[in-house]
Amino acid sequence: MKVHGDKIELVTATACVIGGLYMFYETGFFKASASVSGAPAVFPRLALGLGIGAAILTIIRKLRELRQTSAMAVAPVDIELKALVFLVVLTVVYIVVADMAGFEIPTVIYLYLLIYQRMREYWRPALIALVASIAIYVVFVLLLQIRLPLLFLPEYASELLPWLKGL
Amino acid sequence: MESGVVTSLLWGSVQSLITPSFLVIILLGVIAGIIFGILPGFGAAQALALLFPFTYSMDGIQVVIFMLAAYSAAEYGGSIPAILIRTPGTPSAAITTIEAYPLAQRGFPRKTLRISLTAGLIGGVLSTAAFIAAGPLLAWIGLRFGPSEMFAVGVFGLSIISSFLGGSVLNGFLSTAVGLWLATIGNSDFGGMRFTFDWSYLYDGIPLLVVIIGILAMPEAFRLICSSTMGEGADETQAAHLPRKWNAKDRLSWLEFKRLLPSFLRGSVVGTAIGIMPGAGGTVASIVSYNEERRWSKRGHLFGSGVEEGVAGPEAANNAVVAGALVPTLALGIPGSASAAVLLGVMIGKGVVPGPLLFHDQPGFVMQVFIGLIIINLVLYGVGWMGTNVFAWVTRLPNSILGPVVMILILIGTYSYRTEFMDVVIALGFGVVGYILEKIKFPTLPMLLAFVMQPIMEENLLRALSLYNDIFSVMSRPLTAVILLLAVSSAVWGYLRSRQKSPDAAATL
Repeated sequence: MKVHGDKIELVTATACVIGGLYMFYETGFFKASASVSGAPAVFPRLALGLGIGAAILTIIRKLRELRQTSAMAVAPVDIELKALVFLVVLTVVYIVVADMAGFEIPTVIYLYLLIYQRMREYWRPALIALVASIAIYVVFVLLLQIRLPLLFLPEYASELLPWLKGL
Repeated sequence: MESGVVTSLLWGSVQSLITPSFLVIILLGVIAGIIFGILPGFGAAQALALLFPFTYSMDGIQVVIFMLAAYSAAEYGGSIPAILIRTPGTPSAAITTIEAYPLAQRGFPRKTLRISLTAGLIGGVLSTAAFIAAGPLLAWIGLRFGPSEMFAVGVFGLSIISSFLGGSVLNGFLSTAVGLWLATIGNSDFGGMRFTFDWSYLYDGIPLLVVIIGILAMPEAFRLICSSTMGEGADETQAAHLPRKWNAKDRLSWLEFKRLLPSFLRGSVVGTAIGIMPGAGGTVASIVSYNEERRWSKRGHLFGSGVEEGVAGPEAANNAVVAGALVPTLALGIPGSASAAVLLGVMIGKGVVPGPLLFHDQPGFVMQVFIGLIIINLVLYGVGWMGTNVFAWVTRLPNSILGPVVMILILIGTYSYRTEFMDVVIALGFGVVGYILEKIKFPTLPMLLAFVMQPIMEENLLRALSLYNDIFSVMSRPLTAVILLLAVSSAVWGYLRSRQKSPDAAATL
């Protein structure tokens, strides 16, 4: 999908003004415990003031540019929306499923689907996904001892040999 | 600092760093850095972001050394595809392709790689030596800085970053403001919760790792995957011209080394000087160095056809930037680049507070960093010299495999930080926003740098306010006023510069 950068900038700046004003209002409810009066709100207000100011100036500039030129000043850019949405949805599903059903099988399927999209083959993506998943398991779980939600693979290297014998 | 103290610090640092554990850390950092540097689109900053999760179990100095090893190595790694397949692995290696690729095509790929490697070693070591020499001066300056001056330095740094790291100054400031605001979310040291909206996930604030990965690494993975799903063939053609066997004449001789020495030295000086400036970085350094080489070289008219000086200068500048960039990062707490921001974030996370006082309070740590950098350059030279063929193989990896593998590394790396799935979801959200903003050329880097700098700035501002009562008394302190004036000047200059670039657009404001 092609979008105008100018349009997105305008929408972003407007959202920043509205969001910034609301956040500024929120700072009035911060409770201070430090000796400086209003301490927790001082810095956020400075940051929000800077952001709101820059966003208002951006809106003014963009509106003037739009008035001066018939078309948008910047050529439309392709944000590859379809591919992006597919990737984000697939990733969110992967995160949820991996949390519930363990890391092993969802990781292989996730990698397979991403690689298959481009290769359009069945076996090579499957092999790559499997090898990559095993490599990640070895590096992160066995070597770096990071706790991933495992379904059936052992958590420690010392348990690996008995586990393999049990297969 | 007396010379005896410097010598004992130096000797102590050498002894503490020449140990098997440190050498293994350096070796791993170098290998990982070269591999990530080779991958097209992955700069040193993305490499550091991806390697962040591997550092949780390391202590302060180990992390810094590991990250610096990866940083230096990624700068070299970026040159390998630039030389062999005309595809710069890092933005700063783009200028290398102009001379390096034709030189490699004329049958000298190994010589070109060795020039790049030697230039990197000389640039890295010389710039580090310059910084060690300047250490006592920085420590002396550090004693003159109170909280108000530190806050002003932060404002100055953000002003430079906002003004020069994006196309539009206004967008730069907007991005900076968002970064500063994001960093205030969570439990405040100065009383109560801020912007948490009773969501327990936000009580401890948004983790730096999530922001770093979301803004730096995730958009790159999106780009690799999304672009590879949209059409056939674009990514499968790399490394077609890799040499199967090296030619015997294809080497860097002693005579040639002597001839290129002035280029190595000029590049080192340019890289060190430019590295010190926040926001400039390796790309600017290599461009300036290339132009200088063309000006100084007797073969300037041949530039573009594969002249060795055109590789030696920019490559030395490229690597000299690493030590140069540490000056504002360590001495002022201003990360001059995305890579330095990651480094700064890692250091703060490990309890090292950068700033002018660091040189005075922890000279041993600073010396270890710089001695470590020299050792890193030597190890990089050895690994690069021996492993050229192996690393060149990485350029053969197609995006269709690279994108998904990088994506899963990012997801697992983010999760492993605190085994919290919400971190991964938030990083994904930052990634989507970062990807779209990058597509429309909206600068996201100021957001990250502001996020990293905010805690230091806020703490110093509030300390200054409790010392001098009100903001006007803080701002009217002489040194603070001068620094703030510089900050305003840089913002105005940045705006005028952008107006010169696009008079039509700027005239409307």
